[in-house]
Amino acid sequence: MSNVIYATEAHVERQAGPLLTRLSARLLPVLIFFSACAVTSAQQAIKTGPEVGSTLPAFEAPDQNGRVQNLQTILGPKGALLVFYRSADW
Amino acid sequence: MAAISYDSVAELKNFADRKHITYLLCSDSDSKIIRTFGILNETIPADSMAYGIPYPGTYLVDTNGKVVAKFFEDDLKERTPPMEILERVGGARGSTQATVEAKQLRLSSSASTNVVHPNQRVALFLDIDLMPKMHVYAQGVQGYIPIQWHMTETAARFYPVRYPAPEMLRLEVIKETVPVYRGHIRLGEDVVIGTEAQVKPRLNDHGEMVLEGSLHYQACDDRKCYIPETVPVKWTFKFEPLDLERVPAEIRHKPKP
Repeated sequence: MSNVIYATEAHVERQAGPLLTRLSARLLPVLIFFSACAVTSAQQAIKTGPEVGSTLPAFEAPDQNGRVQNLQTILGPKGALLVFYRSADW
Repeated sequence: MAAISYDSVAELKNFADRKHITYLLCSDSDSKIIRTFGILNETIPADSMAYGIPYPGTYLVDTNGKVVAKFFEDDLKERTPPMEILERVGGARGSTQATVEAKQLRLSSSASTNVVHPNQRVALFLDIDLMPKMHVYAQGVQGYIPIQWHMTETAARFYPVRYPAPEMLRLEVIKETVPVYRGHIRLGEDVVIGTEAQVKPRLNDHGEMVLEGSLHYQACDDRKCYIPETVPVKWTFKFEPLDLERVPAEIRHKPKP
């Protein structure tokens, strides 16, 4: 079982690595924060936006280099993944 | 792929430079997109620094901008691993860890990442190729031993194993119809890595986190059933502590006055 092989298909995962690290960082404040929220807003359901089968609303936003992006510029030949996350800095 | 947050361009630029990120990080600094999508986290007080953040989640869209699938979690810390999303929608697989030749089948273990961090959710996969004519029993079978994957690590928490839908096999000799697997099957199981304090004492001499478990099954062919087998399985990950580095204070988010 020692023959560890590292394949190359983890490309996306490797790219997303720093973001995930950031997402999982600073756990304690989050726990405290959400524990506090839980007291006042228990059972509040999360909102998940546009339903499967619907078309996304139009949007545009500058990227990290200040270039304005929209769905058309983001889309690749097979579509796209749009990831909404808390923040790159917290 | 694009990742969208309420951060300013300056924060995203700093983060992308530091982490060598080349995919798109989009700045929705007034949370306009987040509101348009209807995913503003309304549990955050308006005077909080975090006001404007979304309920975190991922949309997979086709080339017409139609939503093909979406992934939102109740617990924001335990986000579905990107590789698992790709696996679910397109059969992508993670990095192969090991291949084991066992009796009546071949096992290949893989995972959504090679590096883990405290509290991270990781997808583990077991690809199983049964020898020709062999079958193993699926969950819910009566009177036979179903295939069962069990993990033992204490510094991690495991989600239930995802078993594929079985096929119903008619055994004429004994006049029974039983749920089985033949050919190739893939089992999946998510794991949430423990805290740094939990994981540190469990690391091996190379600073790696090793997750161990076993696969238990009884295989049969069209003539007979074989002795039940228990095959050890394991995954080895590089372990890295939490990333607590931040952007310079002057460009950080500030609570609205």
